[in-house]
Amino acid sequence: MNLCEETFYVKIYDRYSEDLYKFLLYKYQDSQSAEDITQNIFLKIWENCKEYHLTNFKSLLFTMGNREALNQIKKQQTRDQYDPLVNFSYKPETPEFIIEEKEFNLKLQSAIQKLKPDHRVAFLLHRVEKKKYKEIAEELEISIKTVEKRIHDALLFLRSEIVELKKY
Amino acid sequence: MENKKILLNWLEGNLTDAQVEREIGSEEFQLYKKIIDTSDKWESPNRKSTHKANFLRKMQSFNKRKTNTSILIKYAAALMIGISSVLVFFANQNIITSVGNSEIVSIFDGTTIKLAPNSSLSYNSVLYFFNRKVTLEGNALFNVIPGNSFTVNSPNGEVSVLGTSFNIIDREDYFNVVCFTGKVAVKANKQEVILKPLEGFENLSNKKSKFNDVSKDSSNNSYLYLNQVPLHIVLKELSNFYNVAFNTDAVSLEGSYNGLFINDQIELALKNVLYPFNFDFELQKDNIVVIIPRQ
Repeated sequence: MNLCEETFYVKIYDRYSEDLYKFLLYKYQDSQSAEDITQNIFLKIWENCKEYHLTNFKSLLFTMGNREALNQIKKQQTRDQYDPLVNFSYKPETPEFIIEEKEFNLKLQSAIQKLKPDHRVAFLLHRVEKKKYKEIAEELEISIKTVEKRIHDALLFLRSEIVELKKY
Repeated sequence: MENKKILLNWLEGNLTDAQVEREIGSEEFQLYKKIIDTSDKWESPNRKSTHKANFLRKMQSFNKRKTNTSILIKYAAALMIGISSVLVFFANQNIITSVGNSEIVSIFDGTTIKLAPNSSLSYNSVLYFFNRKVTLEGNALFNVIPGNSFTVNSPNGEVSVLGTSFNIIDREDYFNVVCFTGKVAVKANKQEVILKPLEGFENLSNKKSKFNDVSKDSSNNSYLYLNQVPLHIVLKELSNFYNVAFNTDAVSLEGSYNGLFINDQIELALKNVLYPFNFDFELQKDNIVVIIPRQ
């Protein structure tokens, strides 16, 4: 269980890098920097492998990832915050309503981009990653109540956004 | 149940659509359902398929860099040790004088050492820079330039000074130091004495003694003042300086000599040393000096 052991560390990468990537992607909505930051964090831990332990490894990853992401955002303030850099591919099931569904899908995606980052992370982990409230709470090291509140608030916000859009 | 709880239970899959629709009203529910149904059809975004290969490559290049630098550090350390030991080794100076030959040794700080015949002086010019230490066997006159402590190690004692001129004779068991200028600290026979100008120390009496008359040239080594030096030692020094052997069958060598030691004129030197003991001498061929009682 030594992080400095190479084959073991590659396994750790396989096991955890996806979670860090998704977290950064959902929070900051930029797939390129989510990938870059994920790799940087895993490389940083490898370079100083003696200083880290496997206990609370996930929260360590998220903390480091968050800090790095915030630093990067500070550096590139020119970027438009709502630039839609997360695109979900969507498979319509009912061909008759294809056009209407596509339209609704686009509205919902732009509403998602306007969510508060923490709310977006909780909502997408729940709906897209199919995680339970409890799992999300453990992963983000927050209480289940907080997770529930974020998801509920996210749902209400999305609804009000869709209603707003419908008016025009 | 309040709406929030209902919605949250429904999202987690604990309530059916019908139950929720009944509780919160059809119109509101249909919009929630549309949002959830749409987002549930979203596929988790794929990472670039090359992400793992990229990461492994970065990991490898770091590993290489790490081993490279550690190897580099090892080589550099080995090289440093090598260079410094070579420097220290080659910086060892060893000056040996044969019988009949004196030598003047100048060290880079300006200190000069007149090394009497049949003597040896050694020091390391790199280490000397830090500690001003030399090792002597035999007889030498030192003229030390003021500075850090200057130390002479010899078999029978240790002499340290700050800057002065003094003479050391260290032959076999005999050890004699005389100070001409400055102050000299002598460590011998487990004791330490400080010599002021015109004071001497020798290890037979094991004490300091003063001598009042010293030639102006005494520190010039053409005349050297000997203070209570046993006669057989004086004869040894004479034989070193003039490359002669003594035949002492006709006399017994007892007592100590007090006086000048002239090191460039053999007849004068012999008279100076031998007459006070009522001895005479014959200079023979093959550099043999026969000592006889004076008529």
